[in-house]
Amino acid sequence: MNPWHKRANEFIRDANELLPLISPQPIKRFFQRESTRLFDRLVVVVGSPGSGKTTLARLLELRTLAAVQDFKSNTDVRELLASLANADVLDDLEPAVLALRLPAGGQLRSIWDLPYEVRLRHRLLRAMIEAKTVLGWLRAMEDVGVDLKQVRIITTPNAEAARDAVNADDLNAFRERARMTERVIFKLVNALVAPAEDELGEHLIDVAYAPFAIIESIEISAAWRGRALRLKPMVIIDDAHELHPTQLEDVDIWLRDREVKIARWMLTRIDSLNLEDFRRVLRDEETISPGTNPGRDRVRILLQDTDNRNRQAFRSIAEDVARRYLQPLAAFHRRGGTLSLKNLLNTARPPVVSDTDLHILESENARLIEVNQLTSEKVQAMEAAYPADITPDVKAAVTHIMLERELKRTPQRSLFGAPAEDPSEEEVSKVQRPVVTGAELQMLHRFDRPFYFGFERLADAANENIEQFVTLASVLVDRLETQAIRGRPLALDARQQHKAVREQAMSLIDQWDFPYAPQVRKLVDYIGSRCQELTLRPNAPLSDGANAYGILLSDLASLDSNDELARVLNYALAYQALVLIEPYECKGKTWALFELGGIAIITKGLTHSRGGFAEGTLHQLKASVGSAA
Amino acid sequence: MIRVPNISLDDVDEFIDDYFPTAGATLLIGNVGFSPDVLYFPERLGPLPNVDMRFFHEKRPAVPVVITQLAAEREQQLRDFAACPMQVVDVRILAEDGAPVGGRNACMQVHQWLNAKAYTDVVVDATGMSRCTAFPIVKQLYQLSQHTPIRVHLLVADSNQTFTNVESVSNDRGGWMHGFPAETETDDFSEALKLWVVQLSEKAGVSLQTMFRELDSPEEVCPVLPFPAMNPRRADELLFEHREYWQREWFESPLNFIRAHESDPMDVFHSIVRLHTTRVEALTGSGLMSQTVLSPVGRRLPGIGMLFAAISYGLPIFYLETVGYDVHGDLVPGVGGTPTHRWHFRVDKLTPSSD
Repeated sequence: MNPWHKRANEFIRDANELLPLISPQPIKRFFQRESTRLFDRLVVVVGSPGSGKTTLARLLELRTLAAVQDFKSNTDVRELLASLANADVLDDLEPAVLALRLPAGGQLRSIWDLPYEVRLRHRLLRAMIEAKTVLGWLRAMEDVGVDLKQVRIITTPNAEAARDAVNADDLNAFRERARMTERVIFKLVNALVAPAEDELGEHLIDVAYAPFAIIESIEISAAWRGRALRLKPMVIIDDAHELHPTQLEDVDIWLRDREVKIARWMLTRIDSLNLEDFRRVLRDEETISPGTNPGRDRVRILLQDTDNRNRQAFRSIAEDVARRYLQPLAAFHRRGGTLSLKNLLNTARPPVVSDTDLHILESENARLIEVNQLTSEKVQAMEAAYPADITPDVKAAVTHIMLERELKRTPQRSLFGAPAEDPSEEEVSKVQRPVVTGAELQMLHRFDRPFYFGFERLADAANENIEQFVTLASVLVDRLETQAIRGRPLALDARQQHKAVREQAMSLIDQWDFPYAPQVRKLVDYIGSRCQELTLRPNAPLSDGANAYGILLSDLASLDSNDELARVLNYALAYQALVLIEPYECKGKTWALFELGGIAIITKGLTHSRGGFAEGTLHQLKASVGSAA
Repeated sequence: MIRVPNISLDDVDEFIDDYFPTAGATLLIGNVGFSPDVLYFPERLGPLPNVDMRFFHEKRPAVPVVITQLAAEREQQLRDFAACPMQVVDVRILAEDGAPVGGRNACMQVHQWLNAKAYTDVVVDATGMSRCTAFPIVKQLYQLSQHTPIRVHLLVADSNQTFTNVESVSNDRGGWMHGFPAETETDDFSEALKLWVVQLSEKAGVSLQTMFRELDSPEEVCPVLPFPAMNPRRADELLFEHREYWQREWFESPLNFIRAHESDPMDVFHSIVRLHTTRVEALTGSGLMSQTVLSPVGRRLPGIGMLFAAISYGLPIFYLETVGYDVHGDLVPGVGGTPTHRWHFRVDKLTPSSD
């Protein structure tokens, strides 16, 4: 199995293959964040595709938890197990949770389209969720070898009638009751023309099903693992954004009820929230409606860290993921030792432009020196302030930027004017790393000098999304694997890396196939071209350039959520074509920045650093996607 | 094997000319599409006094103005053919939250049309109709024909010259087509081994992968390849284009590929039926449950073969809805004329045969 090709963990069925691949750091961070509130109230986990929602759910499944015993001495998995134990998911390396991942789309969403009054549709949805969950729990236990005769359903005290209604005393009858509910609703949903509400008759008795209100725990006798286990039953509604918004609202209210005793999570992509709600989550705010206290009844967790990008933390996660994913590849095994993708990529030497191109740059610099009337000593003093580790071509490009800045700063002098003043010490020392990056980017566009190479830039392009990192890195791993099979040195030079990563990024954007994808491409092209224009200005006013489009927050607030642009932005954010950063304070104003996603940044040849943006308006954005401005 | 009575090419025109003028009250259900082929059958049937023409106008959220303009022109042309008052009804394909609802809406509409007047014949002209509306209503009419004397015809015309610069944009969530759900969704059939029969199509890689994931990685995948085809290398090109999926993620070998005629729905039908029946036989013998899941992607005619397999053997259909279109360059309205492929099927006459 090559995990680089599987990309998403959900394709890896075997728990024994899955566990060593899961990097413990994001899991640890997730469980630490809300450690005391994850299993006693509704938890809503929000994240873009590939941000790890489904991996979380897979991790909590019984078949995964039942396999951890085999890994207790595995150093790669130990940290992960410790996080699970701290979160009470494991009890002495035995499962303490019985979780079912229930995809929300399809059948559940279709209930909304039945021609019945809203309350009945909600009732059907709740019953269907409960029936499918109960059936899933029983199946999960059987899958790991539990004989249902060893299982006891523990219900809340004084709930005998409700216990009888779901047949909780006899596991076979308990299952049959759930199946009956599922079958009835399945039939209703899938009728080509659904029966009228007044024809439903006795079907309604079958759908009166509410086990969540009484089930507290599930006990498995010692016959299974040598000691009796008491499991916390749990439902994880995956892809909850596929429910109709009204259904989602009802499920939210229902599962926030403290009377529900089971653990319940909803995993959702950000497009379940409209742009306004999403912005509220970013700001960590909640709407409070009468009779509810969302902060107390429900915990919302945003999986990606959009506010304060912690580059270093994600690089270290990516390094760990890469190490785990390289391990199963036989071609690398034969090379012996522990391979690190970071080391393999970072051995590439910085590229240098051709002598001809270098000569072009130098002649341009000579001309600028002359125009600026600078002495060679002054130029040398300026160049001495550059970082020491740069190559001659980068040095020439940085000098070019500095001279252009000088030209802009000093008014054009007449032939007989006074000589230029010395640049102050303070200005000389301003040559910082971003200017070097800006110079490298300008050379990428002018001379096709490779820029996207090395592990750090690869990790930065992933938008803190492991799936995106794996997808991008897989092309490099494939090439390295080919080198390994051919018995060649395990190395890719800067040009090979840059070319492979850029081609992959372009192909990923080309393959975007989701609603409004053509409009999202137009938006990305527009923002990209505005950022390129800023990045390529000869004096590099933003040093390493821009990668975002900023509009005033007040302008964004005027966007109607039914506007086509709002929908386009919704999908662009959901698929990380864009990342929203707000509020962003700059020049005494409050902005909302639409930053290009890592993949788009690579295709447009821009910086991964945050902060540089092209100023614009909502009106221009609307025009760029072709909607009525 | 079930037999699907069908005729093609000039026989279809002859049949229409001979049969419908003397038939009873006939309902023609079509769709206002943008291809010139949508005019072909209405032009022949519309002028007949016994034919009521009813059209869907499929409404999607992200459709470029050029396409809606072209569809408006087609609607006017269709009206010009009609001897009896013609009706065009908007059918919403997606709900406001993006969920596919076209099939359910289309069935409701057909139900209303059938309740409004008694017909001896119903003709579904699937030429410009999306799968999500055509398939459910064909199944609905098939079910109706099993307990009423109604005759159900399916007509399809297709030309080799299509709009090459129009690409459809898919939804990002898969789903069971309305009326074609999988029993594997219920607990009773959760153990069934899934065989996914999917039509390969150009530029559909992401859709294929989305479906594969949402089907929870089926145990076996049998891609349907177009061969024979007008471009004899098309099957190879598709295999090359999608090599990453079938080689690395589905782990399939060329032994699993189905090759079926690009424009002969019956070839696709027979291939699927042979595969399905053999597999059921083999697995049932060893006490296992089998579930064949069909996914039509891309061109229309092979999809019709899948439709008949699904109706005849109760197979589920998993698909991604088209949410809009992307037009590159100008949209030049094609010249009408005789479509390259014309098919007629008698849906009410699906009968078991001995072969």
